Amino acid sequence: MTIAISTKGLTKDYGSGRGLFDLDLDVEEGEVFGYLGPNGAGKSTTIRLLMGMIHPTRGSASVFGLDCLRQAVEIKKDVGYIPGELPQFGGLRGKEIIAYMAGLRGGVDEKVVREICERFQLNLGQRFREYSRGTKQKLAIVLGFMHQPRLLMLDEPTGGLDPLNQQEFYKMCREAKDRGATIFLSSHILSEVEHISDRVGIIRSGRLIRTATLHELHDIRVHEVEIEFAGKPPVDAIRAAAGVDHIEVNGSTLRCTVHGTFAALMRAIDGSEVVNLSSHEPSLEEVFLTYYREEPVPASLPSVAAPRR
Amino acid sequence: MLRITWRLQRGGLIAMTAFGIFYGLIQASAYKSAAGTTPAQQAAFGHQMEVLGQSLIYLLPKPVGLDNISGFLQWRVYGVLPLLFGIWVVISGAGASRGDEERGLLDEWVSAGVSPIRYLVARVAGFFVAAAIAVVATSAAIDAGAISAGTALDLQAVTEVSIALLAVVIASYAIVVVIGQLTASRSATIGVSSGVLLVMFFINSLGRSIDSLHQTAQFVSPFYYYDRSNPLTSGGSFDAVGTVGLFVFAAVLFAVAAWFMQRRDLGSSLIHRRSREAPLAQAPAHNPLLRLPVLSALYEQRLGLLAWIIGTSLGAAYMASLGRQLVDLSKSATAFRAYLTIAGHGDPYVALTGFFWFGIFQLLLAAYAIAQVARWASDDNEGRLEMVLSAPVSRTRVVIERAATLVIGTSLVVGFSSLSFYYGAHASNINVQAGDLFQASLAAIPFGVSFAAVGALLASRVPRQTVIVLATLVFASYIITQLGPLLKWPDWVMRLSLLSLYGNPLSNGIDWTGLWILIAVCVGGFGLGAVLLQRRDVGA
Repeated sequence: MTIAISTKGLTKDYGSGRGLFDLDLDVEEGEVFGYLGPNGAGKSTTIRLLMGMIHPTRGSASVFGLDCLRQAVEIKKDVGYIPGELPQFGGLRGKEIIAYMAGLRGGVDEKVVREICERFQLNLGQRFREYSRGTKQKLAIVLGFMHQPRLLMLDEPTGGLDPLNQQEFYKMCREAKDRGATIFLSSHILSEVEHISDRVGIIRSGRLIRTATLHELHDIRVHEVEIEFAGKPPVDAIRAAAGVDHIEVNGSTLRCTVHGTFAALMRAIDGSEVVNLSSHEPSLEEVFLTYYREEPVPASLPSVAAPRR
Repeated sequence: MLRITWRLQRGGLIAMTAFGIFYGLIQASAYKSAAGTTPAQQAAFGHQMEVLGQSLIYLLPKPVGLDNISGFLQWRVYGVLPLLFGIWVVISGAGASRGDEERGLLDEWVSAGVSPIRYLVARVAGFFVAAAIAVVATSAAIDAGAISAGTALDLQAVTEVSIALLAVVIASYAIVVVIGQLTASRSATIGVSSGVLLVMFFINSLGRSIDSLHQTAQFVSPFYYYDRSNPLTSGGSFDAVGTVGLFVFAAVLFAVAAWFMQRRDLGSSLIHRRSREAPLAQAPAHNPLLRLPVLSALYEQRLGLLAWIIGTSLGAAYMASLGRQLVDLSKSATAFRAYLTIAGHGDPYVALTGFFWFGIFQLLLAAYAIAQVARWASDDNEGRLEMVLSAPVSRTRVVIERAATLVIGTSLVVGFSSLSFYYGAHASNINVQAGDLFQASLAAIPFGVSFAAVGALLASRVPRQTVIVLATLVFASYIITQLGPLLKWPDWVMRLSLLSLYGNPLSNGIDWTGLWILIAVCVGGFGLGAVLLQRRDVGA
């Protein structure tokens, strides 16, 4: 597999702890990489560094083996970009903006533009200032996809889109992936990256704290278990069981968390009379929220790499 | 609420007050150097100024009573202050009536329980206080300058002229705020209200020499009532009724603006065109101009460029048509020879008419350059530059295209206005030589581009501060050319002004040293701008 995006110690230090720090990341060609993090975590900074818009304080970044700063023009022949903040085109009509950008870029197939506009029911006859927030976003999608690029840099691309159009957008991303395109998608919404990503990176306070496949992320889920016993709970046996943590006892009721399989817990309670047992699996969203928070990652997620802060 | 609106115009207040103090102080303190110290010298200077002032009657009040510092300041400083304050009035008024809405601030306040009327009242009150401070500071600086020149101004007269100035500023502000209710954006408010105020200003100023316009000015121009007060001039008076009338006029307009604001939707204009359904289009525009470098930028700004071409062409024709009359008027004065020396040699009609026109045209070209540079700065601030750079386009190419667009735009403005000047002059029997005019016009292009080159340099480094720094450069250049000869500043100081580098090529031929410096500024500015743009973060 060829590497599409590679960064080594990539840092953009804005001071006061803001920016992006020591990013080491490889994204393979044809991969859809979801870049997750809360607002201000450094997602847009990463994308703008990769686009050569801003200069790194230290470290390096390359796209398709080309340096993001020195060979920015070459790189952009193969890149489609949807910025996090939409530019203002004032009184220009949608079709004029497309023609202008197509003129700058070259190699834009009018059929592709038509097809995307039809899918999103976008009227290019209107002036940009008359567009709603969502319609402006649709225009940005056209600008990003119209030349069928090898790499798509998408900075929170579904902002302002209604659910139907969001679904259409995910479909377009999947089609781009099938075509062989690489997608780098930043978002703060897990369900968005869950739809299309092969792999996910979680960024918090400017530092990448975890990269994993979606499958791996599912594995780190922790079950919250509540067991009501007929008699006294076998606390010592449960405490000794592998993967069991956060044990709380209240009379005959015991609460704990279980990471991985239930086998060890089941062996520990074997022989005790269980009146009731319930297990709650936190959603992936809740798992991510744990990462998003500024507090240290709780011990209930032992196998997940701790944040490098 | 008042505190918030006050904070919103703090920057404008500081800039205007600083400008007013500087302008007032310089003009007043320079009087002694220019006019001499004895009453006889000052009377001779006043007489000379009265003759020269006839040529500026389209801009300044009638030049009377200029034989002392008091009358000179009434004419030279207070005559032009409404126009200078007008720039602030338009920017602040457009911000109050539309800018806050565009930024979503008004929505926030209204959702917090502030009524639109209360907001407008707070905005108007805030501006009134700010304008009063700026006017008082400017007048105090003028008086301090006069004292440094050896004559204290009459306090009552200074107070009266300050009140009259405040009245016309507030009336102008009220006009802008009403226009803001009828337009849909801040930029439209700035455009329309600048046009309306300029028309009102010129109806009054042209009415000084054209009787039919004099009648019209009484009904449509607040500047007419400001003109009626000249308390600093010997034998002059303060028109209390006219001044109070301006305040009443402003109050009525504010009430109208409040009524309009209550009737319209937030974010919309009161005049609401039924929006037409745009014809469905799902393909890029086929206009070839949009796909070609440089031409796409010219196409995008075609309406603005057309307005510049028409405006400067009309101005050129008007100045050319006035030329013979102005020169004949000046001929009777003993000061004529000295004046002609400044204007250049050769046919006095050609020299003086060209001197008048190219003097104004230089400022217009500088303003055109600033408008273009403001566009570049906003390209960055509004994300368009980032979008352009997301295509395979180098930063150097961006700078080169900007320079090329500007050279073509400037050439069109210069070309059409020079044609207009040529035909206007010949219609007035002024024998302007086509070759000389071509030479002067050609030299005007690097002059206009040089300002933009400095702007390119600034926009590459500090896009948010570019316009204000460039405007300061133009102002400093203007002050050097205005005060340098009066205060007998050395030649190297005069050369610091881009305005003086242009010289007077229509009658004196091209100042090659100046031209090469201008060309060096153009090449250096854009070249360095390209290097700096390469090194800085975009949209950060």
